[in-house]
Amino acid sequence: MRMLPRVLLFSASLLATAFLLVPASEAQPKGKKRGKSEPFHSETVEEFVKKLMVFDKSRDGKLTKEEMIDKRLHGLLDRADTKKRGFVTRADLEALFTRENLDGGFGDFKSKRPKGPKSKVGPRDKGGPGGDKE
Amino acid sequence: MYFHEGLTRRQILMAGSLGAAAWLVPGAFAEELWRTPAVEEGLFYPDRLPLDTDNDLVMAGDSTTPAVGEITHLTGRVLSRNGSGLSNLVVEIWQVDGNGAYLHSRSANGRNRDRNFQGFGRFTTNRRGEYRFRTVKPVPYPGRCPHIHVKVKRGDRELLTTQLFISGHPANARDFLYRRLGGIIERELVSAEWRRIPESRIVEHRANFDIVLGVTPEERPADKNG
Repeated sequence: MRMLPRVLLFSASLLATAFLLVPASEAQPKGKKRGKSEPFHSETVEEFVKKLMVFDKSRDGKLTKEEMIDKRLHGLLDRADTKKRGFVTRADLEALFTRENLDGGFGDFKSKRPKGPKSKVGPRDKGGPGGDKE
Repeated sequence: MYFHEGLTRRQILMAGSLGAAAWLVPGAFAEELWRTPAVEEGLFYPDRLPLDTDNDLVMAGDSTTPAVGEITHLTGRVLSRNGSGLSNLVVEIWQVDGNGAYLHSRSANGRNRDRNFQGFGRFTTNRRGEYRFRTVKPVPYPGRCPHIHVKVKRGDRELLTTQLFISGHPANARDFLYRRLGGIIERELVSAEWRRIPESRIVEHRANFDIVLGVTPEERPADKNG
């Protein structure tokens, strides 16, 4: 009978541990539901530049379309090459990032939102067939 | 402690971490294409598929009346990360009609749905991984910028679900899903330019959307030039 308190204590510890762990383990499958977006991560300028400059095979600091094998990104290089030199540098990419980065979030609803406490327009609006929102 | 051939536990862990990092960073291998980012499926995959599910969404069933909207010839290829075309994959698209209504019983504005618009279509990629659809240019609706939903399957297995956006559309910057895509590169990979066809008498566009899947080697076709 002396064992009973120990067994109960051990069982309670197990239950408490399981309780703490279950939400975390459930969170993963939720995020991997069919057709879910990839997890949101707000990109930094360093990350953006690094992702592209890895294609600078000649290591001369000038990224060309010939080096960028993924043609889907040639338009992006065109937009970065504002001086039309046929290549982009780290500085060009940083400038492009400044111009085009959206920084994640929920859009510029704030700037569109009419002022006043009675306004019903805002980020919580459900909106249309859009119902694409979760 | 040594594990193998004189490697320490720390060296093995370091090598493993570097290897994992290389796989996680897009474009870490400069010989590979970026994987097309996944975007949420949303709520309006047709809850009742139409009888006509071909790749011409502008003409539904036996109707000879075309759907309302700007005709779009959407083409592209489904590729592996090394650029090989992937054949026999089913590409599905679905989108709102010119009135902003989905082919779905719970779609807003459903009463005004264009009955001549098919709303959903399928195409099986050829040996070069190519697909083709004729549809209408997607329109914005409250809460969302214009987009086309895209799903790629091999048989019943879903390989990718994403959304295609119109490059440079002013509503993109306010779209919560578009903004959440991660970064400029990711947004670029799910965007296409809608180019007006100058020789057409009607308003007609071309859009190209290449889709890159992160397939495993055994899923790649035997004929890499296919």
